[in-house]
Amino acid sequence: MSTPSVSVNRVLKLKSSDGEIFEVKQTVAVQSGVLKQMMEDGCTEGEIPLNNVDSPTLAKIIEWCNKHHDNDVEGRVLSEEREKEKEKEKAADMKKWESEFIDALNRDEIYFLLTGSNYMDIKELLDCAAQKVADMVKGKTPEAIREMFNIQSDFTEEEEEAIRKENQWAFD
Amino acid sequence: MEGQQAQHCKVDRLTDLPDPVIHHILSLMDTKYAVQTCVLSGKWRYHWRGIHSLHFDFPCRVDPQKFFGRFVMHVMNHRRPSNLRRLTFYFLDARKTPPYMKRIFQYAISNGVQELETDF
Repeated sequence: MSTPSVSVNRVLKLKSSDGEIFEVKQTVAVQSGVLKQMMEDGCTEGEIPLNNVDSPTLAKIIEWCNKHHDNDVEGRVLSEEREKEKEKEKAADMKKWESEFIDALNRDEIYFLLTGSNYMDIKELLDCAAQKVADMVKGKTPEAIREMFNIQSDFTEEEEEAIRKENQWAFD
Repeated sequence: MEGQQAQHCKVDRLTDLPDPVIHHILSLMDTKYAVQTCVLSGKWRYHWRGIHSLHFDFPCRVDPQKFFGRFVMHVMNHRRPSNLRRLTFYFLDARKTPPYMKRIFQYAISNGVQELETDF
């Protein structure tokens, strides 16, 4: 059986964990490593259940992928026209859009976006959400990180002191 | 809104993330900060050892011998062996520490480093 090629006009029907159906163009869906593999294997007929992704998260993921797809399409046109300046401007606009997209989310939404993009294997979105969390964590004291993410320490004072000593140079 | 925010904060979602996602997050910051997460809780104690990228930024006030000898060597000795996606290394005067430099580059190469960035 020949492998069906990705078609501009064909759509995939994605079913979220809470049963909502989302239609996504194949050309957009290829950003997900999992969906790309399914398309290559020719098993995207009917509804594709995404049991680990709820509808608000899937809506966000699709919004991200649509924006990136549109940007890539416009980018190709610009490259062909050799409009390098405009290309740079577009890349900067995209970065701005990405940070606004991530900054508008609360911590729960970022968490679901991380698990969803990890599950669907969407590298750029996973990187963007992970960078947001990394920026929230870095440079903060352990106490501040615990408070921010509600992490309960299960160490006794003595245990924590011993672990600090084990990695002393990181706390200097 | 405040009530909603308080509700969000009650659950420790960060610790619940899959291990590869936590390792990815810790790989996107200065390695010193990644290691500091070892004291957060028992589950976090060894997470930093799974990082896939290393970022060392030489602190001006610290003795180079201590920085290389303790900080960098400790990380290289304890990080779980896996391919190194990226190594960034910034320091003030590499000439004072050639044995360490050799050791770092050997480590990077033996771990199949994909990207290397330094001010050497």
